Amino acid sequence: MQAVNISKEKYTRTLIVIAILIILPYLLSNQYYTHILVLSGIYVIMALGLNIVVGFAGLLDLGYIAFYAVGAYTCALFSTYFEVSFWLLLPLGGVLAAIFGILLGFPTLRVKGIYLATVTLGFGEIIRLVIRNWDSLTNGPKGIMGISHPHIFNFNLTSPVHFYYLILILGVATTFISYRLSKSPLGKFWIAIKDNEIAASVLGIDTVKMKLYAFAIGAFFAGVAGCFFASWQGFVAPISFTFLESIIVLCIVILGGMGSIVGSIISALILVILPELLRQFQLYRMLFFGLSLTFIMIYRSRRKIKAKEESFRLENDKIQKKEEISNIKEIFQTKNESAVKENIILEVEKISKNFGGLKALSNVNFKVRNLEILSIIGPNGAGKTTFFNCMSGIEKADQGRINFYEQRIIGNYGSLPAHKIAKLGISRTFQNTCLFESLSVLENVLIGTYIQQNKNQKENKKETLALELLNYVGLKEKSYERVNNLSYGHQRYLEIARALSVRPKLLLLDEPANGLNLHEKEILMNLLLDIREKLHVTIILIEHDMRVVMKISDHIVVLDHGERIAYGTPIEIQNNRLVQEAYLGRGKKVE
Amino acid sequence: MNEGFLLDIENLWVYYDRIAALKEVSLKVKKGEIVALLGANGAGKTTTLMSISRILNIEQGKINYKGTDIINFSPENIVSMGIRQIPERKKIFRYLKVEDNLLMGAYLEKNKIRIKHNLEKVYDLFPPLWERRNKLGDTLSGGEQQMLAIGMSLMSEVELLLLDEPSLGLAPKFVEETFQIIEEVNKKGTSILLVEQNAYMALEIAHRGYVLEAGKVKFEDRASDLLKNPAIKEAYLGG
Amino acid sequence: MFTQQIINGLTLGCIYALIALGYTLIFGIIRLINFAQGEMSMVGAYIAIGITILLSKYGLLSENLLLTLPLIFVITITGCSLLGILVELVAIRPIRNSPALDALITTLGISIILQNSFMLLFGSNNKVFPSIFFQDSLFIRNAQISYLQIFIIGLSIVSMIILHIFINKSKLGRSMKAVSEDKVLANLMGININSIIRNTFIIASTMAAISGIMLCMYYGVARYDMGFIPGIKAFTAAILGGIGNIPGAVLGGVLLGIIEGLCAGYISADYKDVFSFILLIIILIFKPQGLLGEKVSQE
Repeated sequence: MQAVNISKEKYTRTLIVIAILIILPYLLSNQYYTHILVLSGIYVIMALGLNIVVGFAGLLDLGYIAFYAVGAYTCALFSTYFEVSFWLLLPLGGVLAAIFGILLGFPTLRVKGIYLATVTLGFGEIIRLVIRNWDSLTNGPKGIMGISHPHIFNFNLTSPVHFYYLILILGVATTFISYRLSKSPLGKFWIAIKDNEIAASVLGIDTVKMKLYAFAIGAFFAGVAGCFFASWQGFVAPISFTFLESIIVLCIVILGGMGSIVGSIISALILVILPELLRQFQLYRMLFFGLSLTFIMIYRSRRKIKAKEESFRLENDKIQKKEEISNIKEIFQTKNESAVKENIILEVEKISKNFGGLKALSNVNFKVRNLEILSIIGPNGAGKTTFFNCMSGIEKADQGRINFYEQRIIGNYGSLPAHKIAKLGISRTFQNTCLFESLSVLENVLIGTYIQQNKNQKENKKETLALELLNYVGLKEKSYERVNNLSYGHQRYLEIARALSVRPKLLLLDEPANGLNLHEKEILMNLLLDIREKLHVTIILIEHDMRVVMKISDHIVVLDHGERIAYGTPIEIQNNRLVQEAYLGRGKKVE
Repeated sequence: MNEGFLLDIENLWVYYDRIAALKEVSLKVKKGEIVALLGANGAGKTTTLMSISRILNIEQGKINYKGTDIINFSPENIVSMGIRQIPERKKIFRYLKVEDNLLMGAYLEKNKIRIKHNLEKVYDLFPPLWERRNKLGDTLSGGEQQMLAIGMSLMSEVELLLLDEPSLGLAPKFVEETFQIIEEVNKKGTSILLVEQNAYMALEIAHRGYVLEAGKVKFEDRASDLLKNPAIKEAYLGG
Repeated sequence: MFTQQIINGLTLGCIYALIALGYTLIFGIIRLINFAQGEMSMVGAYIAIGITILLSKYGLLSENLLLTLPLIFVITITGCSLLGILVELVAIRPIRNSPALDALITTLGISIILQNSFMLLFGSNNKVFPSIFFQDSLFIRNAQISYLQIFIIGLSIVSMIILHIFINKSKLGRSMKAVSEDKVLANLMGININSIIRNTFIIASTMAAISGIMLCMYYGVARYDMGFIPGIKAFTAAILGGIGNIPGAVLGGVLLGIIEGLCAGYISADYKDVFSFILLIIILIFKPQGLLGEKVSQE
């Protein structure tokens, strides 16, 4: 049982590190060194918090230090004005910072990328400037003095060693929380959003909500760190919360290898302790800092970033290979049983979409019956993928309605957002595979099972379902591989498994046979038929390969220049003159 | 070495990440020929063109052009040797004016008189471009964009034209026009390697054809014979 | 009061706009925020002051202002351009294909290196720029407008017009637009991408050099950290206008300068930045791609 050994080894290693940290102050027996350690502890907590925002959720935050300031000033003000106990202020500072985090998070509804980063920068500056200039409350640039140290009953924490143990406890706690988060569904959702926001949203992840969580939790950590800082120093001033401080914390996270908890901790320790050791070269400290940043980044660009295979392997030990396989077909059937065959489940009415002057879709109509396989064909650029995008809520249709099980999902008034459409039971794949590259094969499928909120379903049961889905598409042996190590064909099957993981009623497949060889296409066709027969899932398929289309479709919709030029059974379509001209070619030799 | 070939590709391997996109592809274009390169989406057609233009890294293999090994050439060198590629989707600069687009086509041409002469030649060939010369590329229709793309390639002396899906997104009327233009350009002495999903049309104007499947050459024949091949008919022409 | 604040704001806004143009040009061409842009401006100020010191040593400084002023500009621009080429070659080119955040950190690193090496080389005190140019002022309806302000605004406008003509009419300008839109297609036209990127850095450095001279003329002093605040403001301005968009950078810079001027005059000088940032956030919420930025489809 090698897997168990790895886990045990890791456990012992963690205990040893903690043990060393506990006796460290006695080994150093130097107040100044202990002081530096406390300081680096603060940065560890902040780095772990920012790592959640930047590393996990992929949101660049250039004003993170503002939350640290909120925590610090919460502590300073409540402590000096109302003499509130530190032990109350610690969570309060965190909570207030988290509230500010949510406030900052709201622009994410609309603002993205570098623009969002600028909003965070502005937010950080606003907080700092308000603190600096609100003399009557914060005493302006001079700062607030006389913040009381924490005390336990009548015992005052005063010496650096006391604070060292306090920050050690907080640091270990934040590390633990970070670790648990990274393994939790929420953590996987963040990584999914970072890897591919669109793919995440069509799986049913509410991306806006998840981003708000990231901002709030990240801010909470900084608030706690700030509160500790204020109480430790007994003094706060705006000078501690400049843009440069935000940048330093950001550098720590990026140098640590975004998203890596251990990396963040180690790089925090290095980036804080090293400059302090260089204190005698005070003047050269920042120059050294700048040089090392630049050189590390240039160096890093030169070598290929190594696959983080190890982290996947480690997950392996948690999942015991259970041979008893709960039947995935049962799970699907119980869910989709109510539907009667031949009932119309999807109505598409007059869907239109323009890009600039180009008509991508105009007045597209058709209906889909329960448990049929419907293919959409047409030349490249005919609007097929645009239709899928409109239907899954990624793009907004200009006009028209789509009803799914008699519920309006797209319409002039109140189209549903992508994640809600997904939750109704529509799931899709993409033309160019959009897998979550930072996650393992199994995790890609697990994410979908997390979304189906099924209270009585236990965590390990979800893993069983995910493994079974992988087995179903023939990828079980690859469960712990990195996505990028899969062949093209396997990536396509994985995407189908992921789409099935949310247990959809309707599956949209965008060119599933694209790039597959003949043999793989055979497997695919059987798979699709099986999904329909056994899992009771209706399928809409965009496909270029006529063999596949003609063999498995019940009906075919033909689009050309955004218009539906034909609808019918495969045989009808093959004999349709218009279709032959538009799609199969206008060769004079068409026989 | 066979002197008869303008372009001679042997045993080409190209990888994306770790996945082989081209597997021992060998392909030849004779002077004056139109060669069709067919295959399903993802079969490696565009990859082949991008490899010839030296945009993509080549893992293994040889590309000879007029007897010179061009594997280590930069894309600029390739253009200066008279090879031009017109890509599949983004074939013009949408935020440049039509005339500026054409001038970009003559980027390596230093002789101002020749540029002016070529410009007139292209405007003669495509009068709609003259009318819209001061408009942004973005405002052109699909057919006009195709004209502009071909016009850009004619702004310098081009001996081998690599055409990627010229019929893509064009109305049938324009597709026919485009193919006429391609034939005309070919008759004036330019050899053409034509990637097309519209297999009938491509094979009708081509001399020879190759069919790629999953990165490998599956068939190689005279165009007229490929048209008759039942396996191809089923796979790519829809039965 | 109003005219006065508008003029003060416009002067600063023009300087922001020049630096913002650097951000926007470089972002347009390689999708990278070059945070060292403000420091480039600081370097420009130091070079300008160095030349004035050298000139006054030989008693040439106030000899002929029509000669010395252009000389200062030419040498400063050359110096900054050389530095720009060096930075691009040594630090930017290797990280062009790195993850976006790694690249961002690199430019922050360059900015820290520049600041601190200048502090170590020349000390952390203020360097004085001799006040010999444009000392007089005009008075229009209680507003005092110095000739220096007129010079700064005038020269900024001229530089922007030249840049505009250059980008739209010259072959290099066209090529820059082409590379910024589609590198593969530009490559297929025979354009050497590296050389276009180098030239973009030269132009961005030129803009920074001009803004640096203006900053030290306007404030009369230069310091190793003088580029930081204008750099951040200009970055904000470029984002406000829609990064990658050239008129957007000018609009964003001027707008930011005027807002600051008006806030300082009518509300509170202490809170002027607070108001500009609040306005920035509000504008971005309503125009998530900046004022003139277009939504680029992500294909």
